[in-house]
Amino acid sequence: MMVTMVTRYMKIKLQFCQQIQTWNRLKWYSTKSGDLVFVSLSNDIFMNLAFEDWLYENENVKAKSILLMWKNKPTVVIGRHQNPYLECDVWKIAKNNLSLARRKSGGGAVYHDEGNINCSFIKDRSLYNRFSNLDLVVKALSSHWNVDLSINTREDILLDGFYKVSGTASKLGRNTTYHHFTLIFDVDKDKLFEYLDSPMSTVGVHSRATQSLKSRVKNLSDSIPGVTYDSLVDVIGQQFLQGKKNIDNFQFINPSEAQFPGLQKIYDELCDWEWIYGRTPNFSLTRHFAKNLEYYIEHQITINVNIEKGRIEKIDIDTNFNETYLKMRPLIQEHLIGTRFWLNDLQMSLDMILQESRHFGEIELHSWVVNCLSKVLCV
Amino acid sequence: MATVVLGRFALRRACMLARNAQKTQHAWKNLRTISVSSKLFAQRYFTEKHEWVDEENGNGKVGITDYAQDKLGEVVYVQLPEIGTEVELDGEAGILESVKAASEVYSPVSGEVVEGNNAVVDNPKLINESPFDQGWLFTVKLSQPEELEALMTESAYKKYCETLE
Repeated sequence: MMVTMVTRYMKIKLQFCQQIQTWNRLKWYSTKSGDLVFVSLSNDIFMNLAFEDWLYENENVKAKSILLMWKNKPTVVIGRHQNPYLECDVWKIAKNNLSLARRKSGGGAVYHDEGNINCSFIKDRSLYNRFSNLDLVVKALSSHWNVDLSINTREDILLDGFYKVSGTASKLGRNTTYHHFTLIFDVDKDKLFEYLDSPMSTVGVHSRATQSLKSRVKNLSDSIPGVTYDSLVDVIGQQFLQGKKNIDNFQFINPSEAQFPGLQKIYDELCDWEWIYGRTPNFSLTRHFAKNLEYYIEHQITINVNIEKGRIEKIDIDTNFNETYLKMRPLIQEHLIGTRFWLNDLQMSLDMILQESRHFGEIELHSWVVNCLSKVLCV
Repeated sequence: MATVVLGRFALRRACMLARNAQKTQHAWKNLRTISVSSKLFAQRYFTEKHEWVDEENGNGKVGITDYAQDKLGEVVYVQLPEIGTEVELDGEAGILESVKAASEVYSPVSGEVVEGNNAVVDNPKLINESPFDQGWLFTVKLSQPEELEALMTESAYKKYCETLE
């Protein structure tokens, strides 16, 4: 009894202390009047998105707006309602140890590396204006360098009136909003096209997910030789603070749980497979195959796979060799239904099907069916 | 014989009368139900954040107003709250994506989500084309119907919108 009371008391005290800490921290910000520029020292996309979300959730932006800037290691970032499998080369990204992140904002897929600066304008809903944020950056850059930048109707920043250098997205809550965008100044363009090219996005895909528009891109460094991340941070930050930059309103921050309680929870959610892949809007893959097998008889097969919440939910197969196929059907259902749409998981299931179907004989036919399945699933 | 004929005639007449009487009564019944239910149907409430609720038999059907859809622009993706989730007054209840922006939807009432409009999930443009009718979002079983009293009526909402422009 005593013990439970003591632990309960300690728990309450702990919560109270944490609350006090949060208040102190908020006071620390709110004592500084006017707008703030934060530059994150982390180069982990998940940490930077988590920090942005923390500021969005916890900061009072009624009296001040915040500009958060960061860069990160090579990463593909997709919009909230996008299908990663159709937007980028998911298997290659995983194999080469890149990160793939799902933002909480809308819009399309982008590739980041350390040659890209991210700007996020966290503002009150009444101040939400994407055009004015982009305009601020365009003004900042063109007042500093001799560069031809413009904004098109899709709210992309264009270089020389044609090449996209920035991709925009935003999130609107009840009172708070953020508008963030990329600005590529020295990105590895070959990698950009390599990773943003999906092997799956060919034929037979049905999906309602938000689709990206492919654009021609160029680096700012093509027009501003020698431009660096630090100079961009400085120029954009100065413009945002209307030239009144000082050590109070322009801060470099290494986001940590100790300083921003609750950050780790957001971070973990953003890294979670269920968020990145499990949140993929339901989609289906359909393909038809035909091949001459066994005494040159044409065999035909149509495979339709439905994927819900990142898992195979249903497989429909039509063949002109039903008698043989019916033996295989339970195997396919058993090993594939419920499987996560993930390279290792799919490969393992297909291997099992192949192995177990050997008992039925007609090895050539069965391995062809498995081969067709692996083509549909792109493994 | 004559009595039989007379009797049959009287019987037929009586039946007809009875049938007619029944008919008129039936029509009356229908009329009454229509007038009663029309009273129930018409209650539509509005919030300052441009959501609407139709109250019917303890359920609230929720959508966004024409003003809100116009501000959003073309909706391209709809994420509705799952059936069975408890939404709170002013709590998050789904997301609408339009021109690269993800906007949270907030529930104007508390309760359990009992139905979602699959038509808008399949065709998000319905929200732009018919925000008050086919573009509804979800239905909530009202846990606190008194919350509706704090909302605006149609005429009050119209006046409110005029102050915004």
